[in-house]
Amino acid sequence: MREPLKPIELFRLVAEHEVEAILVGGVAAVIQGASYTTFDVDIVYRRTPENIARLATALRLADARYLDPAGHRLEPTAEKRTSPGHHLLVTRFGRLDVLAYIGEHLDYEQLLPDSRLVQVGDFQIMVLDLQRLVELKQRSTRDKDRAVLPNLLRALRLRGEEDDTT
Amino acid sequence: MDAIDPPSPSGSPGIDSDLPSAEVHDDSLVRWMLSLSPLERLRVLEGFVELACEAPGARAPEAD
Repeated sequence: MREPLKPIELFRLVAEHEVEAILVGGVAAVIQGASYTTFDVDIVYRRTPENIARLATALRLADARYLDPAGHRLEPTAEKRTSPGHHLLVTRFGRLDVLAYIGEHLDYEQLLPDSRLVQVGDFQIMVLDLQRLVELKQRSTRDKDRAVLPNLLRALRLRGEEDDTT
Repeated sequence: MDAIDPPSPSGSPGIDSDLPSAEVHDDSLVRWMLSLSPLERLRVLEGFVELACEAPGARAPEAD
């Protein structure tokens, strides 16, 4: 069964708790105008102790737990999040992948120069630029990444034509 | 009786382009998305996912 996805509420929670994170993946493409279907939110977070504590608070309020096919309830503790791996979670706002890095070990600090703040209603979130998203997909060897490339390139082309700066 | 125009191959009359019809539609969809605010774009995604959740036989998708 698919879970609903409520990225707006999720981002509001992240913004309210001043979590330093960059939105990447399909939702980052959608927010920049791509016609793209995705069922989860992907963020890369800054791995400082202060930020991990803020993230832990936000995740607790989002009722986050690990995706576990066996149905066990495993909550993401701050200790677990300091590990360098990815954390694939389910929240009351839908699926959330909390990532230490993407691509060839590109972490928060490395992605930040290619990211920008996007106004979403009454708050802002940091989003990886569409051009950078395209470059990452182009380097990927995964079939599903290559499959969405035409869609992202179309959005990039049309955004350029319309000089969209949102 | 007047002749009835055959339906447009693109399903949408008034589009004059050398591009294949699917390409025209995809461009139209993206242009529409670009005309929305980021908040509205997220609401479009939410609505689609909600629809997909209600679809018969919906199953858990793969992550990105």
